[in-house]
Amino acid sequence: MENSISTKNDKQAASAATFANGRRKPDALTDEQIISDLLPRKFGKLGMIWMGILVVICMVGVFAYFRQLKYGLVVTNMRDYASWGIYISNFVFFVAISLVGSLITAVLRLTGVHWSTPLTRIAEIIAVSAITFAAIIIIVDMGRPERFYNLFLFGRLQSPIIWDVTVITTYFFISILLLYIPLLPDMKILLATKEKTAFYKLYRFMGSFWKGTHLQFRISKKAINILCIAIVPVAFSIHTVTSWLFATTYRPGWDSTNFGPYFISGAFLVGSGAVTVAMYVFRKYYNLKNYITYDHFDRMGKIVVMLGLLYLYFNVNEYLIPAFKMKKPEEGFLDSLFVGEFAPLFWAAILGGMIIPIIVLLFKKGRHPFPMFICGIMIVVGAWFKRYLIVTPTLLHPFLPMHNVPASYKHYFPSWEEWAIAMGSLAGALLVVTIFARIFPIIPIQETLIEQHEKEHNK
Amino acid sequence: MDINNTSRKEFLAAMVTSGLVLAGCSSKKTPFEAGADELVKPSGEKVKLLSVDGEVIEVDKAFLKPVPQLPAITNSEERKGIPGKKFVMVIDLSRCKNLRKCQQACNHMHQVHSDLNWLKVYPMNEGEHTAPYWQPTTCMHCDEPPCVKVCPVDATFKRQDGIVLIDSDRCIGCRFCMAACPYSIRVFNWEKPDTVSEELCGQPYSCETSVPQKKGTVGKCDFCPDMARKNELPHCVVACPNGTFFYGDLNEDSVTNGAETFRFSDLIKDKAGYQLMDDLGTKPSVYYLPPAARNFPFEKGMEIDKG
Amino acid sequence: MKRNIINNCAGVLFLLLSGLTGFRATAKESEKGPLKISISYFSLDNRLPYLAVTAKCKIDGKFQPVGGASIKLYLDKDSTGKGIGLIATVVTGEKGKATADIPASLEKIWKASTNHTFIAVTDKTKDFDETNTELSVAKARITIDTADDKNVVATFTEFKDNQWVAVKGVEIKMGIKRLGGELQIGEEQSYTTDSLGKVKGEFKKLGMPGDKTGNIILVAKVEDNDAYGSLRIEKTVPWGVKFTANDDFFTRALWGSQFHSPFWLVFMAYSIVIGVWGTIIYLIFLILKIKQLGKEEEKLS
Ligand code: SF4
Ligand code: SF4
Repeated sequence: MENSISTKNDKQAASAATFANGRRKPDALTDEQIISDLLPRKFGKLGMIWMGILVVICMVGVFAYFRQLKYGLVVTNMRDYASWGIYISNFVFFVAISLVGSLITAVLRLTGVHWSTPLTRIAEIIAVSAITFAAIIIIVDMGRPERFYNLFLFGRLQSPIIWDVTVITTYFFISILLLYIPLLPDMKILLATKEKTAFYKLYRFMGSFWKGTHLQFRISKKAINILCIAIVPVAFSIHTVTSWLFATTYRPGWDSTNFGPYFISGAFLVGSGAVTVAMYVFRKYYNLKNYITYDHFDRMGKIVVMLGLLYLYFNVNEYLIPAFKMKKPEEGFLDSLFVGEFAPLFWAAILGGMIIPIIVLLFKKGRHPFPMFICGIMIVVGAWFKRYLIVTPTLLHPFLPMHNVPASYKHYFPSWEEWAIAMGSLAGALLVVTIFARIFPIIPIQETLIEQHEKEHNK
Repeated sequence: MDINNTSRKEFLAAMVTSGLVLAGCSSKKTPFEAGADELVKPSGEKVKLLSVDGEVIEVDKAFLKPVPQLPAITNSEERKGIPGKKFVMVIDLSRCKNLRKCQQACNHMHQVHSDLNWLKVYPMNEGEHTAPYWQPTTCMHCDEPPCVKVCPVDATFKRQDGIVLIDSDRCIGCRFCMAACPYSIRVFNWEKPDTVSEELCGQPYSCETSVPQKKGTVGKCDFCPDMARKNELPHCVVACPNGTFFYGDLNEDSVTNGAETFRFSDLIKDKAGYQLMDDLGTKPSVYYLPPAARNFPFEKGMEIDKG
Repeated sequence: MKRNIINNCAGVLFLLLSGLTGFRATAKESEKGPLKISISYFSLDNRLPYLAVTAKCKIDGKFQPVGGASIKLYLDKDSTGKGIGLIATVVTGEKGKATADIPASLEKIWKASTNHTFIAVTDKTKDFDETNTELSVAKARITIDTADDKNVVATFTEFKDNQWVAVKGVEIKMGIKRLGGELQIGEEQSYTTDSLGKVKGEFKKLGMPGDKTGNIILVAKVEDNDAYGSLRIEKTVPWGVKFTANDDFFTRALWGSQFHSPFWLVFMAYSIVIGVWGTIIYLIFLILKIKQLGKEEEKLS
């Protein structure tokens, strides 16, 4: 097995050294222990409660959607001016979060960073479930979901929606592959366990053919490398295209050439925030202290700071430059963000979702698991509202004044159906992650074993 | 007497009649001969009528009532538009006093949901020391329509006669076009339009009449190509008592509000016509005449304005 | 009918509520006046006569069209004052309008006289009492002549004592036929006939786009004349500018249809899609290969 890793580089050696000085003692771990530590576990009481809550939230969302199907989009509080609401901002949020899969797995792997190995699967499953719910939420937003097939019958290549549909489908498949291929060696380990779990058949179906031969390892390594390269441009396109849904219009606040990178940097930030949260939760409730270490948090924290600064930089560009000019159509929009109707939310998202986490994470103590967890939550929540602030205020500041409409058309606050559906989709995404972690090892066992052997070998 | 019992088709037919007799005579040859008008296809069935001189003449039924139907237009024809036409509108801001008759007529004829308006009249005031005026706004039927650019399924489309229409049978209700339209013209049927009766609901949708409006799809001003086919004017043009709206064919270089007809190029030249937000590159088909020498003081319209 | 009234009432109520009218919103039931029918007579190209009827009634002081009203139209009176020839029974449309042509069966009555009376009769309904309206017109015709260069001459004659005689003092409008109306040929809105029954107008709209061959259609018309009704005649003249519609509309553009996307876009989109999906398919192929290797391994052991 060792020889399947053909090159070892200095960095890796260095990181191994850090591990040795770190708070965990990886050297003491035997293969058996690693395997038994990382095998998926039955839900405890807490897990059951968690599942229960998620399922209930999902059911409420489904019920709300049923009402929407029955009565039409009138059950939402979207109207002609705010014609897109939290469905779309939620969609953007999901797309953003899903980008992390490519960041943690591909970008870090390609740049030869190996400490992130234990995080890859967490990132990938977040990516897969987020992109799935992005697709679902976009159907929810449609006035005529039953005509979805029109996209395939009459798809116009000129429309950014078609581009979005295409890249999201592509990204979904690539993410699935990137989740599946590294899972293969773990299947063998799962199948080898004594007790036959309820998922035995599933494991067999998915990976009974994995024998762990030299050749198989070589092919899978090649496949993973190709995937890591392929997923980067696709990931960039999903979020760039999503930003183009806005940037291809004339609206103040959207009409920006900066939108692609702005969205992508934001996506990386929220994605790594989400991974941080997931790292903390899995570490705590799956007892993975030996695998997700302080060191991981420390490094993740530094990445988050870097991404946070990057996103902040783009935000300054997005808001300061138009504010400097204060073109007439932008004026009302920017006013509403800076001092008006949306100001509390706007500043909360900027401060809580960017500045405060950045400051906290600059300190070494700030990069300990718990403060990281809190910062991660702040980033994710801040990002959700940031998306809302990208979508709604712009729509409420059209070029021509809002006029000749019922008073309720001039403001937007989501109805309970919208909240229920949006929350339901978030719960759904969490549910997918939870169930995945129930069935499959959330930390790649095989890769951990290999790294372990590497380290021993290096000694 | 109860027109609830009359089907919409007959109903339209009755309305069509007068226009058709006129349409029938737009010919080079005698007006009632087959093919007299490109748009009316002879049915082959003749009726005997009296001429002014008292002779008996035979006229193709297609040109007359009670079945003076324009041949049913297929969806693909509706998408192509009327060849050789380029419809334009001129709105004279000096004539508008926010009576909203245009809006009522439009809403009524297109069965627009009671919360929505396809045609809006804005109180405009650009700057601190500028004078306010009323600005009726229809769809601009842009020649580079941003709404059409973004529609994923060709549900909104540009025709060769310059009109931008919506196919409510195809629209998936993504509302991208609403975000893309800088004029905020488009409205959405958030629910089943309260104005459309059960019975009309079942009628097939026509892109040209834009009825019946359907739940979960967009709607907007359609420039009344159905009326233009009958050589009639759009409902707003007819309804405005002040003659604010002028409609016509750019290829004929003329616009009319029914009572007055102007040479389009002269009108635009003389009154310094302009397009709304043309700096966006949308190339609108609607032109505005500046609110100079106004017929009514701005305040007149305030009584009606409810925001 | 009922629905129309309801509509009207709703409309009126709406107007009241929105403060459109000066009326106070106290009136619970809208006040409805009697049904008013008006007839107009049209003659097209001196050939086809037809009648247009309009039904309206006053609701709260405003005339509103009455749709769905059934109206019987008769030609001329007999001695008892009753109509002798039924032209048609028409039902008004939503805008309160209906039209009728003169059927061939009335040939005799039509030929018998130069003056005709049209009678419109409605029966009593639950909304309105019966009504009765008349319109008398004399047979007349209008001709248009363009022998003189860029001058249009229209002549108005009436049929009297078995011959066509010129009529003086009739107001005639002359214009170019355009969508929805006529563009007047010169500065004057209308012209009045001289003792020869003629009007002359100078054609000043030079350079108007015509059809493919440069033809335009001139129109001369008499509108709502008390004695003669409305008459209209058209004439095609080659005074326009040749116009060919540009047929390059269906080119490839970003706003084009599904089948008219720009080539660069098609090229870019397809090459990207093919590239990426090619990779995905290759990856799936790799998985299948792993699978096959596994199967072989199984066999060996
Ligand atoms: S005005 Fe708006 S809806 Fe109309 S064509 Fe232009 S962009 Fe489209
Ligand atoms: S809402 Fe309908 S018309 Fe508008 S872009 Fe979507 S599919 Fe096209």
